[in-house]
Formats: sequence, structure tokens, C-alpha cells
Amino acid sequence: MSGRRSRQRFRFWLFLVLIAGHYGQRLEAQAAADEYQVKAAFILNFARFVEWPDDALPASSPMMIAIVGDDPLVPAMESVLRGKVANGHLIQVHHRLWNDDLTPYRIIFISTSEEAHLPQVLGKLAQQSVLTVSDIERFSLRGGVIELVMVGNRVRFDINREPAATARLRISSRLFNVARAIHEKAASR
Amino acid sequence: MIDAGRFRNRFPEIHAARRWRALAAAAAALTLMPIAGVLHAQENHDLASLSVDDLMNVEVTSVSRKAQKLSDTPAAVFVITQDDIRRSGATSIPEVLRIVPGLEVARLTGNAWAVSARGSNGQYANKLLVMIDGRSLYTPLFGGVFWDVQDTLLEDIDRIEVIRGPGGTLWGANAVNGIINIITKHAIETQGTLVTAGGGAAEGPLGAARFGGSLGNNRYYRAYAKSFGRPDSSSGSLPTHDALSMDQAGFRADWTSRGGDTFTAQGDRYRGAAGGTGATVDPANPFDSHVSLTRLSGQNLQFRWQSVQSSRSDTSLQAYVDDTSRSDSNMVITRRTVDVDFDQHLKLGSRNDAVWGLGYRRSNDNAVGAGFTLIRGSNISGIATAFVQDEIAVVQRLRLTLGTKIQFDSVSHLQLQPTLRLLFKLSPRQTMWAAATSAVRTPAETELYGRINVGAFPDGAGGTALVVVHGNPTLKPERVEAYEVGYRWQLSANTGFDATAFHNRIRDITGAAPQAPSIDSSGQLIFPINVENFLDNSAYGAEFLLTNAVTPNWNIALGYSFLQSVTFDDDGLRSTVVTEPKNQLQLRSNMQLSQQFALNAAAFYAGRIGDDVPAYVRLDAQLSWHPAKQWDFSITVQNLLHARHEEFARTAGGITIPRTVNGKITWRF
Repeated sequence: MSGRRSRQRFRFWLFLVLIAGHYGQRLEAQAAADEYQVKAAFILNFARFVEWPDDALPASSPMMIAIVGDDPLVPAMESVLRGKVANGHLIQVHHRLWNDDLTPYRIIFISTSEEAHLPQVLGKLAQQSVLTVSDIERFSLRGGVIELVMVGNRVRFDINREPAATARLRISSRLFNVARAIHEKAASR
Repeated sequence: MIDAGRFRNRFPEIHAARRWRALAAAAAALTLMPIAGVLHAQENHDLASLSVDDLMNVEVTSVSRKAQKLSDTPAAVFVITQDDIRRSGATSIPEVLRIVPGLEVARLTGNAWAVSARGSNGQYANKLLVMIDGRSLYTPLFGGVFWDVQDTLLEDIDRIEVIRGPGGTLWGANAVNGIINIITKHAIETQGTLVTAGGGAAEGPLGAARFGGSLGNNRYYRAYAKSFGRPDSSSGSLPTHDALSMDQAGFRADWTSRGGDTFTAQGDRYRGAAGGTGATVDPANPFDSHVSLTRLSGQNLQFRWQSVQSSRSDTSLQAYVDDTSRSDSNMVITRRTVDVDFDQHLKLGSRNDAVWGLGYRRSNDNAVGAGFTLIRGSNISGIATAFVQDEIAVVQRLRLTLGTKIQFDSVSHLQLQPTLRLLFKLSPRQTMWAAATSAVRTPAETELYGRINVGAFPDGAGGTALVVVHGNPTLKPERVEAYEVGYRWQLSANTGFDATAFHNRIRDITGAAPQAPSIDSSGQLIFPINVENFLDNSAYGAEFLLTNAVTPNWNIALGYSFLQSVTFDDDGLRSTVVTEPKNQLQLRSNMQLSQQFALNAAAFYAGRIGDDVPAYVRLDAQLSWHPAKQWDFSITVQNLLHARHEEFARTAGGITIPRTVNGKITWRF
């Protein structure tokens, strides 16, 4: 390599050092946790910031949550949710299959393993006051209420107002404020 | 970190009905990439006490419990994860691609590779389309990919999606044998500072730094700079002139608007030099092999806007500008490409999942040099494309995908590239698929317009005879018809199996047809070679992959591929040129020895390539040490078994690939 090239190289290294030095502020160490425990913690917050009609969730009745599908993620989600309280309702978590009776549940988390049965599950729930949550891709555009989305290695969520209204759910503005995307029924925007 | 899911999760839920770029935003939802150097899970009661805002900042790490769902893609897909890249110890993108069963990867020199799928390999393998974040890396001048300048910070790659087989319907021309799409991480995933340094024997030096930050309101960015070199792979006293030296810097910014639209802007700039011997002959100095340093430079800028209009429609708009320049003592090549693509994903009724799109690419290039000219009307070429594809849920277990690309340019005129695919779910764990597709490769500019002096010899009368390749502006595009079947079986949570069989027929392949010698107006004796569509290729083969998590700390993958490829000319004579091995076998093992140490190894067997290159076994191994959250150390040895071996034809000047030893330090803070 010629001398000119060496100088170019030197300038390049100087640039590297500048980048590292100038911007090298220490970022806060951020906690890392199991994906489905974090998703369960989101569901707990949803339980706290969504209101159900009284006929669907009478005062002091338990808040029944169903995890539909995959076995392996049930223990992780249950470990976060079990015994917690949301707006005075004690949370109970059950593992269910897609063709089980889902009427007692106010929150239903649908595992990605059930994607093939999504139309049936949502169809069954159409007349129910239930908050449907899933990480199935495009869930919030396929009739679900809240879709959990991985953005990088963090969890975000999208809300669709239309199925929420059909299910007579009142979602707090606190959730709307931090949602990644909010879908309306109407196509015009 | 122990990541039992990595092999099992080999086939994320990719819908072939959508373009990769439309998937980029949902990428993380499909395969949640484990980040190197992860932390411990928090106590559950901590998580339960966090507010939504706090939860937003929690990083998640484990994919092991994610539903182990088989792919619903009716195509031969393989995904290389960031974890695979890190464990391979590779320092360049083509080296990473070795782990894809059914891909042919051969290193020619210290700065050149031959990469193809299902045959037709070569330094300018012209039937494989390669992209980074949807930007095409295929050069229309020669037809093929200059691998020496295709780089980024390897740590910033999210994944590399490899499809074997034609993909012309969605991706356009030149996706005849396969598509490689390199997808970089969202800027949110590269927050903080990363510094790496490395080097060793016959490899490096490498130095790189990246910083990622946030501007608030869902706006994230990163910037990186990288310097990489590789010395001559000389054996003995003969210099091989195949060194490489590259400096590169770039950025990416991602932001989400209040309405949920996502925007990405990204760009790179590089400058470097690659050693080599020129491909052309200067008539003034015909016997000077002109060992030459090729100066390389380029830059690109890209913008993407993705928007969801309703539950039934989302759109993506992308535009980029890409400049490349290569110059050596004989030749200067520059090119500017401008590309705009729009596509929309639509749900029609309850059964149809459709996607359509429009695209336009305009390219302006200059190529001048001694012994090299392009004889053509204009330096500017344009290609307009439109495509439509619909995925129909015929019944719940059976999905039919139909579509075509329509492409128009002034040389090949109107070209259709149709596809028909079927996916059948035998059970929740077993999927079968079948596909019939057609795709084209458009002739490269050198094939159409080139006048290239490729050789010279004494004419016996004191003068010089030149061998000149004459381009042919009436060339037709090459067209492939491909038939594929595939089967995937998730035997258990720990074991997955994937098999594909295919038959390809490529017609009108361009070849070199030597003509009778002639004497030109200046009295020069010339041996002309014409470029003509006179070859047909028929290939069949099969590709298998078995993955197994032997224990939570030990994953293995076994891959095998078989390829039988024959090329005939118009007279039915069989070509003797062989460009790839018939049999390839690989065994990879990733073992977590303890919390701090991991041992990764990969053995590759490639059968002989005709009578030119003998079969070889290549063993690569990496030992990595992760003593603390911020630090990673690794030592990688490539070609552990042999001091030198050869991977491709001897046309590369007899260069053999040396054993390399490479140490690397990574510091994150």
C-alpha cells in the first residue's frame, strides 16, 4: 500500500476513534426477560386498562384468562399472571384448546400455534365480550383486538378499535397512547 | 447464551405471497433473534409490577418457548440467523452462505467467490439474485455479483433469507436459480456502542465501530464504520495478488409515525482496493498480464415507507440510488442505478390474500478500457415491471398461489414470469408443497454490446493474434422452467426435517461460439468469439436438512444436496464444462460448553468439480468466550484439516485457499 493509502487509513481510524469517543455514552443497562413472561405482563396491564361491561364481568367476580394453544408457553405466562388482581378481579389462568368452550373467559390469548384455527376461534368469540390478544402476525388486522408485535427484541402492540367496540370493551387512552399502531375499521385515513 | 430453539426454528412463518421488504417491519415477530450476550430473566413479580411504559423497555431474549411452527412457505427457504453468522466466525457475507444446504459456495481467491444455487456457478454466476434490504446487488454489466464489495457490519445483519429455485414472479429478472436477501436489523435493535477488532493469519485486520441511539418518539438510528483487509493468499515465492482492503461506513434510521406508518432511511459508502489480474488484453501490450489493483468505491441511499390503510390493505413504497465504480489500470466501470418500487397487500373476500406491485429501475453506466468497449446506442437502460400474486385458501389445509411478473425493457421486450404453488398441511407437523415456475435472466450488457479482448498469442509471423468476444444485441433472455416438491416434518420439539427435490430446464443459455479467424481493416489477425443463445441445461437434484437439539446446550444440523446438471448445445452435443460438485454434505455442531464458553464447528464436503477441482473436506471451528456482558472473544480457524486447498476451477490463477486463523474481540457498552 502506498503512503497515500496509509494516510487514508489513518484518517479512517481517527474517524473510528471519534465515533467511539464522541458518542460513547454509557447506556442504561436494560433488563432482559423471557418473551412470554413479558407478554404476560403486558396482558396483565391490558386487564387493568380495559373495562368490560358489568354483565360480562360483574364486580368481584374473577377475571378468567385463557391461553389457547401451545403448551410450552403456558407455565411462563401463568407464573406472571396467577394470583394477580386487576381492578378488583382476581385473575385465573387456564390452558384451553381452540375447540374448547371459551365462553367464561374475558381475555383470551391465542398462541401462534393456532393460526390455522384463527377464523374459527374469532368466529366463536364474535358475540362475546372478550379481549383477544395474540402475537400471530397481522392479528389486529384479522379480527383480533390487540396484537403483540416484536420490534427488535422489545414487545409492542397494535390495537384495532373495531373488534374492541364489537366486544363492548372500553380501552383506556393510556394504552392508545403507547400503542405502536391503532387500526380503525374504515379504510380512509 | 443457550439457544435451543435456533435450529428448530429454522423455518419462520414467511408468506411467499408477500415481498420480503414488506415483511421487514414484521421481521422480529417472525423470528425473534437472540442477541449475543444476553442477560438473565428477571423475577416474575418484577415483571408483573411494571407499567406498560416500563414494559416497553424490557428486552426479551428467549425463543425456546415460541411455538415451533413449520413454515407455511411453498418454496425451498433457508434462513441464516444472526446467531448462525456469529457462530460461523465468517468475516465476509459469501463465507456465511456456506451453511445453506443446496447452495454452492466456492472461494476463488482472497477477494472473489463463486456463489450459486442448483448449478451454473462461476465468479459471475448470473442466475442468482442477491439483495440487501431489497436493494439489488446484481450487476447488469457482467451479470452476477461482485462479492468483494458486498459488505456491512455483520453484527447488524438480522438474517439472510435464501430461496433456492426461481423467484421471478415477485423479484423480477435474474432470480433463475435462487434469491438471497440480506436483511439488516431495525435500528432499535442496535442501540448502544459496539466496537470490534480482529485479525490473524491470512485474515484481517478487521476494525469496526457502531453507535445506535434514539431521538425519542419511536425514532432510532445507528451509524457504523468498518475497515477490513485480507492479505495475499500467496503460496511460496509467487505472489497471488488477491489481497483486499475495504473501508466502509453507513447508517440506518427507523421511525414510526403517530398513525403507525413506518419509515426507514439507510445508506452506505465504501472505498477500497482488490488485487487481481486483468480480464482483458490491451492490444498495445498484449502479453502484459497487467497485475492490477482494482480501485473500488460506491455509495447507496435508500428510503422505505410502509403503511397500513385498513385491515385489508397495506402498502410499501421504496426507492434507492446506488452508485458503484471499479477501475483498474485497463478499465473503468461506473454505474448509477435508480429504483422505485411500490407494492400493496390486499385481502379480498375471506379466501384471497393478494399482493401486486409496480417497479421501475433505470441504470446509467460507463465502461471504458483498453481492450474493452461497449458498442451501443445509449448508456441508459430502463426496466419497468408489474406483478400480481394471489394466495387462495382453497380449503383450510390447502393453499394455492398463482401469480406472474410482467417485465418490459428495450432488449428483452415483454417477458412473463409466472408461478403456481400449492401448499398442503398433512398435519400440524407435516407440510408438503409443490411449485411450477418460470423465470428469465436478461442478457448482460457485455453479452449484448461488448467487444472484449480476452486473449492474445503470437501469430507466427512476428505479429499478434487477438481473441475477441463479440457481443450480440439480438440475444434472447434465458428462460428457466422449474418444478419443485418439498416436504417438512417437525418430528418432535427437538428434531426437524426438510427435503426438496427439483427439476430445472433452462433454455437459450448464452454461450461462446468461436468463429473462423479473420483479418480486420488494420491488418490485425482476430479470432472472434460470438455470443449466442445455443445452450440448453437440464438439471435435477435434491436437498435435505436434518436439525436436532441433542441437548439444550448442543445443536447439530446435517445437510446434504445432490445435483445432476447437463448442458447441451443446439446439435445435441453435451458440454464438458462442470461448474459445481454433484454431492455436497455438511455437518454443523454448536455446543455451549459452559455459561462462558461455546465451541462451534462445521465440516463441509464438496465433491469434485468435473476433472478440474478435486473433492475436499473443509473443517471450520470456533471457540468463543463470553466472560462478561460487554465482552466477547473468539478464535476461528478455517480449513483446520489442510494448509491449502482448492475450491474452484484453476482459471483463478492457481490460487489455493489457505488455512486461516482469526481472533476477534467484541466490546458492547
